[in-house]
Amino acid sequence: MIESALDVLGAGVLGLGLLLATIGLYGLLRMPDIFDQLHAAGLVTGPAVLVILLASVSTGSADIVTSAALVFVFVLVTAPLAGHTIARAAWLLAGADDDDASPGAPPRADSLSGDGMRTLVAYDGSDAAKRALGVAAQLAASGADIAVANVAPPLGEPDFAGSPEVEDPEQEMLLAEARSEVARSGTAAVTVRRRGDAVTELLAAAEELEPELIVVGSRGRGPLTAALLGSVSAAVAGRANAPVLVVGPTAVLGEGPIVVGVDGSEASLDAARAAARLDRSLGRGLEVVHSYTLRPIPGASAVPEARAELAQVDEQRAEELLAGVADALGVPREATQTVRNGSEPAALLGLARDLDATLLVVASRGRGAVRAALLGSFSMSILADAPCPVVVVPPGARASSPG
Amino acid sequence: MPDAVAAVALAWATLLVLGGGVVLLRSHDTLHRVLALDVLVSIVVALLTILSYLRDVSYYLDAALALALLSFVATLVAVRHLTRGIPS
Repeated sequence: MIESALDVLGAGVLGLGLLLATIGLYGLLRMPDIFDQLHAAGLVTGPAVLVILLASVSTGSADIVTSAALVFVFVLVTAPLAGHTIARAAWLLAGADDDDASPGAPPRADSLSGDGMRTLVAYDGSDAAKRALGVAAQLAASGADIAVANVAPPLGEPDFAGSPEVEDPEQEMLLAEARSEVARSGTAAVTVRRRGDAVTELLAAAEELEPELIVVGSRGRGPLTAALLGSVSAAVAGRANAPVLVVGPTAVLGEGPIVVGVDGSEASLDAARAAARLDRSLGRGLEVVHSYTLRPIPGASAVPEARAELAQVDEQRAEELLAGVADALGVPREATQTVRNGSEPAALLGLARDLDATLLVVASRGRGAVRAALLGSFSMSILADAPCPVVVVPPGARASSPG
Repeated sequence: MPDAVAAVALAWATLLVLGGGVVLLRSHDTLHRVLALDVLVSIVVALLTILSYLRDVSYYLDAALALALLSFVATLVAVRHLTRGIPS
């Protein structure tokens, strides 16, 4: 009797411990900031392990209970100490960051103040970033104002930590490189110096500068790898306050129009608006595309007339949708077209290839990386094999942008 | 403790170790890596504890204790190195 009660208790306590560890680990994966992560990590290193050790009582073995008690006491003492040490280090390092911005430090975030399209480019010297910079330089040639942002790693080198007023030479070198690249198109770029987590800092820089377009390079990781290992471009594209131009490994700026896909949803309409704004700056022409598949009707194949009729209804609906979008955007009706029988990504990509599109504009539903990998993300699948750079319009860009 | 419960718990903890590995791979600076390793070691300690329940021997707990000790010292040293030269 007592034995079975102990068994149930032990199983329950063990399950609770593992559940705590799972929750903590999930938090650790989802939270970007070190202080938030510490909270989640504390759940694993402290309570989870302690509760699992408590379950030893149900084994009824004196050996195990004694050893477990020893580990219990040790973890009880060291887990908070280790957590505190890490938190203190994070605090000190962040403090050193703040000093960076104080007088004497290199100037930060010059403002973007031209008449052209305000464009923020992320540059870290990688191949992907070089491609992004190349595209940005081409945009600059058509009159965009460029700000180049570099996010230095958060104080890996103690030398800088000791003397925060000293410029980070690598950052300066990268920014000088970027400036000269943009200068070849005849315009001067302003520079933004940041330090810390790439995604957080880029988003913060975007909040500050309020650009009309953010340009990032993508290493071309697939959705699954991106979810597991993290993808800066995908994270920025999901959470930014402006449309994000993602330059993939094979993407080149075409000579044709800007292609935007619409499906009648509010999100896609906002993407179309963003595309229209880009077109006003670039003057490449706009192509609004609606692709749809014929609704499968069971038994319809037996009655060809009915099938044709249904196809007509679908076609009419698509036409009406496009007419509505064209009206809303104030573009001529000729700038829109429908693609029938295309699953959307394939149809859009095919059209972009055929038209030699300058840019491809799609809406992002703002799904997190994990959900996007599991449930499939439209924008991610487009990004993976687009022939031209893709502009992802995140939900945050819609809320803040005027018409 | 029934073997079945311990076996399931062991499988779960193994998955958590994999999760900890993902956290470690994703971390992009030293401090994040230190934190990820701290968590990973905690999960391995939990795994060893469950293993000792399953096998009904206490040696694994001794190994867990040694591991926890090493991890604690390593965390302190790594953080000390990171913050070297910063006035507190």
